[in-house]
Amino acid sequence: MTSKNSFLASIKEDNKRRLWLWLSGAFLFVIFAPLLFLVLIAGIDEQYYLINYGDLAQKMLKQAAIGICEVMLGVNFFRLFLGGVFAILSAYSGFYWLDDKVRVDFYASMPEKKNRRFFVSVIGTFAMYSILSIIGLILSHAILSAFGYGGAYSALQTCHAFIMSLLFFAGIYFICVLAISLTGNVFASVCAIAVLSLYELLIRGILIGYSEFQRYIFHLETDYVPAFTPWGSLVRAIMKEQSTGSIPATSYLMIICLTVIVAVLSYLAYMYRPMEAAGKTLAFKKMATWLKFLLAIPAAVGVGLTAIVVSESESNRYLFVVLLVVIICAVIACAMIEAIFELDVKAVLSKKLHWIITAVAAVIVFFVLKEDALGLDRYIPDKNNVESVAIVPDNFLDSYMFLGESMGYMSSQQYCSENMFITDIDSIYELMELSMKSYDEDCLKTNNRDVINYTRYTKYDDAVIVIRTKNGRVIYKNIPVPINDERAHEIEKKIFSSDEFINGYFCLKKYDFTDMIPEEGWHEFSNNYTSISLNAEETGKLLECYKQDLDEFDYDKICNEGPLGSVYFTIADNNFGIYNYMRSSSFSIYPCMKHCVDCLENIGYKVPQITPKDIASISITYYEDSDIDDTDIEKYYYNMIGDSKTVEPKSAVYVSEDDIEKLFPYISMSEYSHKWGQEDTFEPAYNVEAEVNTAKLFEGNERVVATNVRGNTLVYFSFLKGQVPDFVKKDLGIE
Amino acid sequence: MIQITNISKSFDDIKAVDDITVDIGEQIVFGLLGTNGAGKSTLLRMVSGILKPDSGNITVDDMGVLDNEEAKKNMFFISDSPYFFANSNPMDMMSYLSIQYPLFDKDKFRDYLKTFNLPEKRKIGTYSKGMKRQLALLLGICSNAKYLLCDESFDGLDPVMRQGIKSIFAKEMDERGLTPVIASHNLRELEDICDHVGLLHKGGVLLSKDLEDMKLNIQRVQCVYSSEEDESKLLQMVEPVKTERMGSLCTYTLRGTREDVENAFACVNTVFFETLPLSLEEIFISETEVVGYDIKKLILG
Repeated sequence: MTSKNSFLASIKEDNKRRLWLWLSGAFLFVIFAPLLFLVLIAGIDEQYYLINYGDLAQKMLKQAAIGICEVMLGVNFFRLFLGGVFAILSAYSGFYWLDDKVRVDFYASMPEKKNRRFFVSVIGTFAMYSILSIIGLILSHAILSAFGYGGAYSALQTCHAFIMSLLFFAGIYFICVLAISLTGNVFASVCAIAVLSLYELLIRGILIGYSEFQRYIFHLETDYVPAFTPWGSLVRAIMKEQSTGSIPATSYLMIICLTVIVAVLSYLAYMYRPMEAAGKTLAFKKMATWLKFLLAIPAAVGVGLTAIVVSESESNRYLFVVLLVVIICAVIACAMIEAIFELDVKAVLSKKLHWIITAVAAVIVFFVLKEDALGLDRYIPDKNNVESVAIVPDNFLDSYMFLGESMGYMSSQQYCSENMFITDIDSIYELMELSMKSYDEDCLKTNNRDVINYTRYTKYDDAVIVIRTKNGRVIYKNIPVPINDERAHEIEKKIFSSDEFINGYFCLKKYDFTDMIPEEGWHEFSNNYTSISLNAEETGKLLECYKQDLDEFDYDKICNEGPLGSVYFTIADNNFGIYNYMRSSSFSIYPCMKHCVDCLENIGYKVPQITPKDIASISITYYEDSDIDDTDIEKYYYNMIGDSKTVEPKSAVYVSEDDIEKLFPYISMSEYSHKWGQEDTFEPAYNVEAEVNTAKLFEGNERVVATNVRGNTLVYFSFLKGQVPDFVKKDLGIE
Repeated sequence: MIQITNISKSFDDIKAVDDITVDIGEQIVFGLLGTNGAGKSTLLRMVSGILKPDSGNITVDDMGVLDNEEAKKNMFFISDSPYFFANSNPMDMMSYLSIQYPLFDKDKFRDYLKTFNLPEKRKIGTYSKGMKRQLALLLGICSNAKYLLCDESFDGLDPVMRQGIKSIFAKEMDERGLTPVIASHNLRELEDICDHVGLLHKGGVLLSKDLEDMKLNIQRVQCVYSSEEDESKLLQMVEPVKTERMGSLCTYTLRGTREDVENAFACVNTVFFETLPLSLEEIFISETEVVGYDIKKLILG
């Protein structure tokens, strides 16, 4: 039996031999991090806050200090990076002896049980990290308190950060120990660390690559982050925290479980590792062949899928080239891995049977994915097994606010998958089926796997459908919904006007923000020619009115209207006397939203009725002189994104009252952006800009600010579809 | 006692140790002799519990060695390239080993360091190769482990140091029953130090015998016969392992005890007769020839 004292003496002796690690850790955690923290805290410009924020200065100063605190002490990538680096160094210093025969002879011959040697190193390392990390955090906190910014919030945050960074440290540390135990030299260990850390990322990358050239598969952004590595699960937890404001217990459990699994694996690999493995690439020779296949096949498939995604070409000739690339990659990967295994360049030419197996397997996997042999792209669960669905139209009505329970940002798909439960499954399935049918037909016409030209943007709008099955599965489909399909429009009307959709899509329906609008936040109503600043009370009233308008929401009405403008506002939480977050968002107001329109009028913004007399000039720009077809409109779109060399614009300016009077009936004010599910109602090849005397329109209301061009405001108009008058065409030289 | 029974060990396709059975008794200096690649180091690494045998069994004082703390406390393995911690001095090594070997004799270690002129505060990295070997041997001796397994540890030691270590071995063997096991590829290295020698070749044991037994059973004599008939008569009684002739002076290497040989020569008339001492090398030549090997090719090159 080994006494406790002897165990502690061994830990002490082990740490004594890793003095350099203590010093490195002390530098990172006790000197570098607190010093950097001190520099940042001392760098807060008090004068700036006193001058600019008056009574709020102290509060804002504290806010700034907490901001730095979050970056330096909280769960953040700076601390995780330090912890990760230290974990790699610790694992290497504790187990590097496994890679060298001389050291193996020394340590393995000592009268010390193998498992004890493992625990001596592990416990010593964790003690070292914890001590140094805690000292560093206490020092940083002392600095924070010395500057008068310390408090319960930062203390809590720091404790949380320590636990999270300890878990991250443990994850990276055990991955490294596992890698070292599975290999026999430094080069192989580094490769193994990379493989163990990034393999899941590679596989996910391939699956994402696969879905890129499928039509209907959709991935949430969290799907891209590995779930089965300790670091990946931590990144997922941080993403979750950013969206919901807190890390759920299940995420902690997941991180701890994964860390424990990796720790157990590293222990088993260490215990069963043959000592003669020192110096070789692999400790367990039997792994070699499988490992080679597991690495070479995804690598070759990945390259093939990348080539397909990058090129967009569907020709047989290109496919043949890609196939050749897949085969060559499989062979090269196989040969390189064999050379690494044998630590001999000459080994590249050995085991040619593996080349053939890998190449054949890679080609099969490539085709299975490319041709969607498993049918995942078109897979829709049986309607009878579906519990509820959600539909997430892309940028629906310019509403961008999707917040979690703790006011963290979320994607619209995440938000709706958590909040929208539509029971009219038949309608959603009908919409999906007709959309997919229409899209498939268009793809067939162009003989492409996807419609990626102008038609895609003018004929379809994307919606993500979330399907929840009765057995708890959640399936996401990305559906291009045809804009001009009457039946689709009918279904949309029915769905989008339903309470299930309204309550599940609009964040404002879920939360009461009345007490969360800070005075110092940014609140305004604006459109493309005027803006009016709002105070917290006015903003709160507008939010309430918007809620009431949503209660009376009529999608059919909104389809025929353009927005009047958007309300921009900020919400914040100040539970601790400081803001632990500030969120900015916006929503658009349409003429049919009577409560909002009335509220705006009470605030002092009445929607102006522009007459020809208010207009000083109208300038028209046209981008193509031939008949407009899809190709030309595409050129127009390219023009919009800056490739103006492709099309020479033509322009005409009208300044006389008669001309303006004559032109005015043909133009209407442009909408801000494309409205979901609606065909564009204007002529896209024409830009119509009018200089409007808005100062006159808002006379007496000093709060309204208008953009100023030569004393006027530039307002964007458009010609309605098919209503470009002949005299304009003549003036522009269009035949 | 170290009992090695039917031990085999392969590295990939190479059979390093092939079904070896040998016992290493207590309080003797056991020499493990063999060419490079004969399996000496592998055998010692298995005995010291570093490597796991593919088959067979090793016990040290009736205890299995693999991951057995108690059994390993009785052994100290000195590899052919002794390992010392980076930037360490002899005191650092002592500090570590005294935790691993609770019976480590620190005072004795300090005394030995002085005796061998090894500065205790100097970094081991600055020591010469021979000094490092001495230090490794002293650490092993002072660990108070019963079995000291030395892999080529005497290579590069000068004769004075060899003698010094040899006398420490004798003292420790006498005082606490130390059993050094010394592996070497050089027969001459072991000649003056071993009591028992095991000869390894191609992973197997060619022979394992006490040196005294070997010396007792083989004799070398020089003689000058009175007549040719006497010579013929003698050769009918004995079968020399080796015969050399310089003029009328004949030198024979003969199997048998001294008494047997002298009795045979008493039956013939000789002008001159004397028995000569045999070197270990000569004994091995004769012993390995018996089992069909040419020792010169194996050990002496």
